[in-house]
Amino acid sequence: MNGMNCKTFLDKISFFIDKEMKPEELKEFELHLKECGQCRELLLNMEENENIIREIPLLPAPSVSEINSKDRIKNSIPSRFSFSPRTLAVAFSLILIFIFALNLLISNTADNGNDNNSPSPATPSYSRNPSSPADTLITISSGGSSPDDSPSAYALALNDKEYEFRIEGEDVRLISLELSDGENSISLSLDENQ
Amino acid sequence: MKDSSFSLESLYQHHGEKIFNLCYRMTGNYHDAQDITQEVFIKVSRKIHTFREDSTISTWLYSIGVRSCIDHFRMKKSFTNLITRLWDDSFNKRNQPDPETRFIHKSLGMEILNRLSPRERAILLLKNYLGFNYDEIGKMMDTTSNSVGVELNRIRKKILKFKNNEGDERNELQNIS
Repeated sequence: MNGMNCKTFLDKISFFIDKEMKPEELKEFELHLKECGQCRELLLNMEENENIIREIPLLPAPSVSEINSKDRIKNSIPSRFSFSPRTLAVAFSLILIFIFALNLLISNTADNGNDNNSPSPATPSYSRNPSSPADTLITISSGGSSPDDSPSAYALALNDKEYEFRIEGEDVRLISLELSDGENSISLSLDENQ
Repeated sequence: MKDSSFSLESLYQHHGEKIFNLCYRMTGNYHDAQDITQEVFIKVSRKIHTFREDSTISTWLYSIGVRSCIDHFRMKKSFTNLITRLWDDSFNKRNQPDPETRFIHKSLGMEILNRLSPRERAILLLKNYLGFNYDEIGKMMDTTSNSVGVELNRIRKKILKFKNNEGDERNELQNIS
């Protein structure tokens, strides 16, 4: 009984195929080969594969003139940063496409920006200081029953909602009022003298 | 045998066919093999003065050949090169092999090589096709001779596995038909 098992055989099989095995290992290897049919078959299969690769037909090499002449000649070894004209052409095309796409993107962004500045009646807007008339969606009207009456009742329309408030007292000339719906608030100043 | 006796033409006559076929087996592409072969001999002509006689000229030459092929695979991965190759494939029909090459390309041997990584191909071909010993292959691939044996073992098991799977698939196809 020899000391080599199938696993050791398999680990050493290339050294045997390539005749690189140490003489002391070779004896054990050959002994195992005689005894183990499975390992024998494995070796045969591996050797068959080697022959398949070895027998790939040889192609005739290009002639010296073909290697040395015409358009195939390269006068120098291409350095890491040198590019063929074809590569340069492709890179140039890519840069052009990139610039075009960037230009398109920028013009689209500009259009969207303009759209945002236009008035949108559907969007509610509250402003404490309605400097732009487009933002003012608040109207206040006097609720007095006759023109001679002092205006004591007012109607406030804030977008689609209507609020009503009343002012008590005759000497009131200046009123400050703050309305809030929980999320947004607005303050109003009414000067009767104006 | 030093610099003066190494004319590029004589080197090509002696080793050109083997280098070219090594490149073809490595790349699986006739035109790439031509390009790399040309590149190898240009490198050789430029570096001939650096050749030291502690290795043989063939070891030195094939080591340049194998490295050039591995570099070719690295280059192929780069984005610019991918675009360039797409351009080539689309417009120049560069990768259409002639009938003889197509026949070889479809051989089982090439199919097996195609399943291996560039480094695995290089090690296997240096042994199987060019017949270098483990020590020489180790020097060419910057590794030890023992590691070459271990790597070859792994490569051969991989091939065996691939062939067994292929066999199973063929049997299945036969059973279906």
